[in-house]
This record gives sequence, C-alpha cells and structure tokens, in this order.
Amino acid sequence: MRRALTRILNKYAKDNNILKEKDDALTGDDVKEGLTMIISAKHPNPQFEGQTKTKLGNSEVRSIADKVFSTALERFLMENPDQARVIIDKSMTASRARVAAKRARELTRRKGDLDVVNFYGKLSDCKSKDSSECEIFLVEGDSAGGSAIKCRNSMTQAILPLRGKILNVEKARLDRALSNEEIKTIITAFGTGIGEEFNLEKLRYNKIIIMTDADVDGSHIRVLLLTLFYRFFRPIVEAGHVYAAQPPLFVIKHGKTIKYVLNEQERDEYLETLSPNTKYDIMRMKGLGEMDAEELNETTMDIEKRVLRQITVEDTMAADDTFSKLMGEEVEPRRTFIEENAVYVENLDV
Amino acid sequence: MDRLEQNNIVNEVKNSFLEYSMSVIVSRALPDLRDGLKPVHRRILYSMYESSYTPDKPHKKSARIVGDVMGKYHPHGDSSIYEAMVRMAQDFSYRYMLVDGHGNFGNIEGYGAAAMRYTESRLSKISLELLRNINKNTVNFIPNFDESEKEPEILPSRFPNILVNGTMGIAVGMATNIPPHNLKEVIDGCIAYIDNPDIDLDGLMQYIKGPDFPTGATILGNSGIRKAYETGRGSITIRSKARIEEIKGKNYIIIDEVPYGVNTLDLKNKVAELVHNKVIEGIADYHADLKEGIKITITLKKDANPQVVLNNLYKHTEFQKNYGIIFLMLDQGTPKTLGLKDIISKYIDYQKEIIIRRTKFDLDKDEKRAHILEGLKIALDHIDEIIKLIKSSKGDEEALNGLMGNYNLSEPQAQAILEMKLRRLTGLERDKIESELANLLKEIEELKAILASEQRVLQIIKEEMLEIRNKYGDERRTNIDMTAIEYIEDESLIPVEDIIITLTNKGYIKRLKSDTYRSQNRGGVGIKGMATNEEDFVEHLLSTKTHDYILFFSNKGRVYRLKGYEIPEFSRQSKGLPIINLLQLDKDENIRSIISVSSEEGELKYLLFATKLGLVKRTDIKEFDSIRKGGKIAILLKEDDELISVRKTNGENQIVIGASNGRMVRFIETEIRSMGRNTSGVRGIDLSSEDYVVGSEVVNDNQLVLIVTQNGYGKQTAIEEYRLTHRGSKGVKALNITDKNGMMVALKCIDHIEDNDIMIITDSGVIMRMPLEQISVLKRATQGVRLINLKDNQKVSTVALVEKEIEEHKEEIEEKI
Repeated sequence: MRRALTRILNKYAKDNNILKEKDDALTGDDVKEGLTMIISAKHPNPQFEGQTKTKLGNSEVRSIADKVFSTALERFLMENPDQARVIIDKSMTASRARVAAKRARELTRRKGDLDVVNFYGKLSDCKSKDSSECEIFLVEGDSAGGSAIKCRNSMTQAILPLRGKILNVEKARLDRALSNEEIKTIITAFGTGIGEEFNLEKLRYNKIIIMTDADVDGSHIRVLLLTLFYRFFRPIVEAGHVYAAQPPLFVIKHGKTIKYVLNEQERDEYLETLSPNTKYDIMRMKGLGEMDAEELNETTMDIEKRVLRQITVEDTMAADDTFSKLMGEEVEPRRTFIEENAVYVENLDV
Repeated sequence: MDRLEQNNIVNEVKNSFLEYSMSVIVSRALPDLRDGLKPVHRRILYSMYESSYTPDKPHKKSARIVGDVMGKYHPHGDSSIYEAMVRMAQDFSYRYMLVDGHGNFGNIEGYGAAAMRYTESRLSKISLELLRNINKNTVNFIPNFDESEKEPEILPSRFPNILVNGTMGIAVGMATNIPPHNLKEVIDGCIAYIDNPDIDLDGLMQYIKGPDFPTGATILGNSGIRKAYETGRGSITIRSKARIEEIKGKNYIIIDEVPYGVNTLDLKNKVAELVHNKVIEGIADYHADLKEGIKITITLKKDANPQVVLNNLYKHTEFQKNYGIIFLMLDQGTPKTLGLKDIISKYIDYQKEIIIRRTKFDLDKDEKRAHILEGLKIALDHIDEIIKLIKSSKGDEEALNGLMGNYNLSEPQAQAILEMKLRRLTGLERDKIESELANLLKEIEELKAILASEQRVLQIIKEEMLEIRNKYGDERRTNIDMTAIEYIEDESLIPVEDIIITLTNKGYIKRLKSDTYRSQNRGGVGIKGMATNEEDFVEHLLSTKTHDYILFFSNKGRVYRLKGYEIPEFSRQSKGLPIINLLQLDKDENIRSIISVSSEEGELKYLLFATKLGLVKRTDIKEFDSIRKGGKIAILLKEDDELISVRKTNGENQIVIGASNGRMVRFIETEIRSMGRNTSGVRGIDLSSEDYVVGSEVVNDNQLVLIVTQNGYGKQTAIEEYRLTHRGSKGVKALNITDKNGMMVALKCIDHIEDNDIMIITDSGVIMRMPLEQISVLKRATQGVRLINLKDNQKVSTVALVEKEIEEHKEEIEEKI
C-alpha cells in the first residue's frame, strides 16, 4: 500500500511537472507523514504473522490491495487536481525537511579532531580544548587569512578564512544552504549543530569574531555572516558570543613611524601629539591584507591591544524584521529602506 | 584584556547593509547619466588616455593597463577590471566599441577573452570623443583612493554615451538595463531637442526609433519601446533574423542575427535538448558558422513544416528573447529611472556646462596671453631704455622691480620681458606680436560673446555633435518591425490536423488522431477499443480540427472554449483526462453539449439552447467568438432550471423538444428570434410545473425519433408522424404514458438505425448497450416495447447514442496496436 502511494504520487508529480527532473523522488516517509489508512479485506484463508495477529501473511493480498488502491488513487488525483496539488505540496515539504535534517545531522557528527582537520582543511583550529578561552576568527579572503594564521596565538585562536561572499541564507532554501561548503565548515567548526539538535553547551569557542576588511564589501560579508548566525545559531548571538573585529581605519606615517588608528577621533588625537612641523601621510585602510602579519596582530587580534565590538540582541522582533527586510526575497522593502535611509549613510566607498 | 564596545545587531546590520548597498548603487553598478559610464569603465578609459594608449599609437598589453587602473584608481579585483575592458572591445557587446582590442577578445559563442597577459589594447577612436576637452577644466578632478593621484569625477562625453552604448548592472534593490542606440539617431534626436525644447516624445521618436543592438536582429512592435521612453521602463521582444531556404528539395532555416546578449553555444544546447525531449520535432541537423558574422543553419526533416519549426524555435529558445528596458541611472549622484526626453534634456544641460567651462578656460588662457603680449609690446616700444635698465640691474629682482615700477607692468609681464629672446627685436617679430595680439583680442571677444549667449553655446554643442555624427555614424542594424505580432500564437506551432475529441459520461476527455480510425468504419468513427473506466462510456464524440474551437456547454448554462490542440492527445487505449483539469468547472457542474466551431463552416450560424423548464433560445454563433478561460454565460437560467442541450442550426432547421409528460413540439427555428448571449430565451414548450424537458434535437426529413421511458420502455417513430406546430404550444402526444412504461426520459433523433447503438443508464449506474435495430419502429401514440429489465425500483436516468462497434475490425485494430 505504501509503495503504491509513493509510486502514484511520484508519477503524478512528475507528469505534472511539480517535481522537476533533477529533484529527488519522494520517499514513502514523505508521503505517509501524518497519514492513517484502513484496509478492509476479506480473505477465505487468512494467515497471520505471530500470535497477536498484527500482520496479515497472505502475500497475494498485497498485490491486490496495491492494484485496487493505485487505480483508485490515480483516478482521484486526475479528477481532483486541486486536492492533488495540496497532497503533493505537503509531501514535498516533508521531503525537504527530511533532507535538511539529514544534512544537519551529518555535519555535527564529528569523529575526531584529525577528521575535522582533514575534511575541513580551511579551518586552522586552536590547540586549547577549553572552549571558555578559545576564539575563532572568520576572516575575509585568503590574503588576510594567511597573515592571521601566521600571527595568531595558536593556543587559543582559531582561524577560518572565507572565500568571497558567503551565501545569503535568508534567500536560500535550507537544503541548499546546508550543501554550501563555507556554511558546512562553519557549522562543523562551531560544534553546536543546528535546528532541533542545537546545543549551546557544545559551542567550541567563547568568542566568534568576524574579521573583515574595513571597506564596504567587508560590511556586506559581515551582514551575510550575521544573517547566517542569527538564522542558524540565534542562541549564540543572544548569548553575546559574536563579535566584530575592529581593524584600524587609518594609517599615519611620519618619518619612520607608522601609526594605525581606529577611527577619526583617534586620528585627530594622535595628530595633535605631533609637533607642528612633522610631515605626515594619512591613508585610509582598505583591506586587512595591507598590513603584514605582525601589524595585524598588534592592531586587531592581540587580546591585550585590540578593540572588539560585541554584537548584542535587544529586540528579537526588530532583529527578525531587519533580516527579513534587508536580506529576504522581496526587493521592494529593501529598496524602500535604502531610499529612506540613504541620507544616514556614513562610509561610502567611492 | 579586550577593549570592548557593544553594538545592537539591528544597528550593526542596518549600517553595514546601508554602507554596502549605497556604495554599490552610487559607485559601482549604475552608470552616470552624463557619460553613461560606471566608475570602472571611466577609470579604464581615463587611465588609458593618461598613459596615451591612443589609436595613433601601438596596442599595449592588457595586463599593463589593468595594473595601471587597479594601482592608480580602482582598488578592486583585477578580473573585474579586465572583464569590463574586454566587453568594451567586443563588437557584439558594445554598439560602438570604446576599446580597440588586439588578440582573442572572446566570441558570441560565450568563449571568454584570452588571459590579459596575451591580449593587447588601446583606446578606440570614438573613445577620444568621450575624453575630448578633459584637460580644459571641463570636469572636476577628485583625489584617488590613496590621495596620490587625481581622477576625473566624470568624462566630458561629447556624445550621449548613456544612450548610444547603453549598459546593464545589478545593484542592491535595483537594477539597470539600458539598451544601445544608433549614434546618428540619438544625435539627431538631441539636435531636434536643442532646436525645440518643447518637442514631445512622438517628436523625438521621429528620430530615435528604438534601440539598435550591435547584434542586429528585429524588435517586434514599438509599444514596448514607447513605454520605456515615456516611463523609463518597458519590455521589448527581439527576434532573430531568419529565412527559410529550399535547396535540392531540402528545407533549411538560416539564422544570421540573434538577439542581443544571447550566447549561441547555449542556443545550440537548448535546441539539442528540445529536440531530444521531442518538444520541437522536425530538426535533422544544426550547424553554426561564425566566420563572417553568425550563420546558423538548421536542416529540417522532409515532412517538417519550416514555419512551424521556426515558430517553435522562437517560442522555446532565445532565438526570440524579451528584453526588459530599465533606464535607471545616476543623476546628481542619486539613482533615477528616467524617460528619453529627461535623459536628453539633462545630457544637453551637462554639455552646456562643458562648453561654458571650456570657453572660460580658453578665455582665461587667451586673456593671460594677451596680457603678456601687451607687456611685450610696451617693451618693444621702449626697448632701448629697457635694455639699459636690465644691464644696469644687479640681479633678477632689481630688473623685475625696475620694469614693473617704470612701465607700469605686472609681474608676469615683466617676467616675460626678461625671458624674451633677442630675436624678438627684429621688425618682423614685432609685427607678429601685434598681429597675434589682434587675433587674440578678437578671439577673446568671441569667447565672451559665447559666454553671454546660451544660444551660442547650444549652437556649438550642435555643431560638434554633428561632427561626431558624421564621423562615426553608421546605419541602424536592428530592424523594428511595426507589423509583427509579439506573441507567437500556439496555433502557428501546431500543424492543422483532423482530430477526434471524445468526452465520456463521467467527464474524461481526450484527443485522438482521426486517421487512427479511418480504416474501421465507412466515413464514420468507431469506438472499439476506446478505454474508459468501468461504468463509463464515450458520450460525446466530435470530429474536428486542431485549430478549430470547441465550445463546452454546462448544465449551469455556462460556456467554455478550448482549441482542438489544447485538449491533450492520448492513445486510443488510455482513458483520457478528467475535464476539470482543462476547464474551471464548479463542483456540481458538468458538460451537456460540445460543439466545434470551424472558421470554414459557413452555413451553421446559430446555436439552439433548450432548458429543463422548457425555454429555448437561438443565438448567433458569432456571440461566442471571445470566451475567457473562466467561461462565460451562454444562457441565463432561473435558479431551478438547467441547460439540457445545445445544437448547431443553419437558420432554417426544424426543432423538436420532448418533455417528461410524453409530449413533443416540432417547429421551425425561425419562430425563435435570435438573441444575445446574456439572455434567458423564450418559451419552447408549454409545461405544467411538474414536467420538464428531456431532450431537444434538430430534425431532418426521414429521421426516426427515439423515445425511452423511465421504466425501460422505448420505441422509434418516424418524424413525419409529429405534426408541425408552433413554439410555446403544448405539443402533440409522442407517447402513451401508462403505469407500466412511466415518464419519458430521453428523446433522440436518428438518421440510420444501423450506424448506432444505444446506451441506457439507470439511476444506480447500470449501463446496457443495445443496437438500435432491435428497437421497434412504432406509431406515435403507443407505449413502446420493453428494452431493459429493471430490478429493485431502478429507473432509467439517461440514454446516449454511441457509434456502433464493428466486430470484424477488432483484430485489425489489435494488429495496429
């Protein structure tokens, strides 16, 4: 019976182009979710399996039931296209949820550290296993990743370089998001799992630090990462584990001195300390890759010297609304937001 | 420990997002109205100009150019710079190429350019017109990203590049897609605007007919163009240029221009896929030749209809493509969607500014020079004293001060005198200075006059644009076909064929090729082997054509329409499709009559409706010319009334209506005047409240009338026995109703009793089939003979005529399967 149900629904979905060529077929579990079925059969010589008579043993009944049922079901689907559509849609939702759950489970099933290192080669993990002192830097691009790895404190600081822009999970379907390499790596690295299996206790790092270039593409990557965190690991964000690194915005050169400062205010303060005759050059920093490893450490990564911006959640409703508006499928709200707020923009890359 | 700051996630995301999106909008993805360039393009062109990679010099390695652009002005990825430059050098991407490339710059098959270490580039000639006058302080220069260089905020753009080359770009929350145009047309349009700033869109479109793509092809219709020019947004359809050729009995479709932006390799793959999936049939071979432009040759199979194949290609592939125009651009730094006239007027305003700034620059230069010349003149007038003065001076300073003090000269004048060469003292040189000064003064006057008159400025813009037009203008490549229909009717994709439509009693419909049956029955159609569900049978059978309309009339008085080909074709063995998948029927709505309407059928021009309560209506078939998908009212019914049947008539037919009380009227159809669709009709038969109509037919002489009753009795009677009466009368007795036979339930007219069987269906679903020959032909006022034995109070509910099965053909059919 279940086989017939699955077969007929798959056939109908394919014939009517609801299920596309490349999609996986619906499984028995997908179609029977939430279903109760009663079969009434009269048999002259019924044979049951076991004393409790829970299962009918006559194998011929199966093919008869199959035939009767599939003919009738096929006819029903054809004669009631509206209901047919609802049934198929429900099965497909179940199917998607199943695939997503499976992927998520697979990702969190880490065997040993060596596996992680081998399989997720991009992650340079830290030595310490004490999550309270560990931190992970999500670094924009390989060019900055290299110097970050070189200068890090390998005891407590893990580095995960990300290539380019990561997927916008607000727009992508869950199963697609979970097949994205970058996101898979992040999920595995965090160790908490996602969805129903999420467990904050298992978070492997006390601080998750987003380290992107101080340009607008860096801003974009930060937004994409925050979207991912908020949608997949909200408790991590709410517990205040997420930070943004603050690389210096300006570099001031005079004589042989090179001074990095965080913002306009620091810049002005520093300039005042110089004697009026000093000739100096000020440059706006563009990328992390402009600094060498030592400078990167000094300015951005060294626990003693860096400034971190902790990302906090005050109003979950407002946060939820912001993500769906700015990162979601619909263009109009985004456009409206841009138009209304264009005057407030602070940093423009020209 | 860490120095910590905090930021709410909402603020963090909003600010970061805004920074990113605004940057993409104002300085990455959108072109500026004035020069039609995005920053990357502007930087490439300016950098090339500055390094003098100009058309009069040899090509330079692309890598070197990209390096310059990246290092000096554009701190982004090298590939995005190179790709932008490559596009500017592709003759299928840019209508007027801005970069002159040497080497492999890719092709329309979608192959990219060779790596930048191989290719070489320089500015194209027309690019110089974008940059012309840039050194005359016509535009502002701003510091580059590290403040080590200056770059132009905008280029002077001496032709309206925004329209001429167009652009496309995706920003955040908005996108732009500006098609290229013909240089001559756009400049003519600009000039027309200068001559008459009140010119309206139609006026402009006299000159600017529409987009002109580098890849040619044809734009279908101009309503989309007009809408885009008016509102800034519109959609056009571009179709390949194709012709059908017959060589040695074989048909070929030759395509030599494809829509803009189409990758011909993708096209080929798409066609292959469609052929493989049998979406398009009749294609034998596909061959593309890019040697001289594009030439795609599609070889057709012998039996293929070339026009049908071509239409299919248009419909299913990018041989025809929609192009959504969005005139979104930056105007004063903000993104705006603008119509054609706005774009032109703002562009001309910009050009005015360019000319004014250039004139001021020239004026300033001339005035400075004149000032110097005046000083020199003074010096020559007093040359001996001056030489003395200089000789007696101890140093520069003293000489300078002496000159300035004694002759009332300015410092630059004095300086110029000190630097004067001795040869200037000859008489000839003196004359030269004087004549130069005179010329300069004239020129200064001229420049001042220009600045004082807007008309003069506009005149200059006009002249210089005309110069560009005459130098670079060429003929339009894209044809605009005003007569073409954008939408390809499905019609043209499907060959005209004879088909059979069957509709079963339970509402399963299908289409069959009529030649499947030709062998079975003389002229007619048999239904042997026509599979149905159990307890179902083919009730309606219609012989028609794929392109004819089929009208479906429901018991609720609604009419639906499908074209023959819209009904899915099934094999003879399959049951077909429930009609609810094709028509938007209500739950308790079912089809009572199906009628095919052919454009060729001249003589049948009316539809005759009969309702259960005895109303009849005659309506011109033309009233059913346009019917929407959701159906339309065919006849207005009272609440408890329903439609019984619909028949085609020729305007002079005779009609019979039979009622449950055993009475029947026969009259000429002209007794009913023709009425519109949305009417309820007139009385056809006079009935008491408990009686109702069971059937209505068009009759001819020599026909038999078949009557079946509730209790399974029936008879056939010659039509002549029923006297001709009038509509609305009680009619004549057609049947003797007794307790035995019961009320009349069906009435049918029969031509040849040997051609048909009768299906009798009871209210509990039992079906019985019998040949008509077995039903006695009796007089009018008789009760009929028993046709079916009914048990358990069953009643006959309906009767249908079906084509006779011809047993001897059975084997033949099976062989065919």
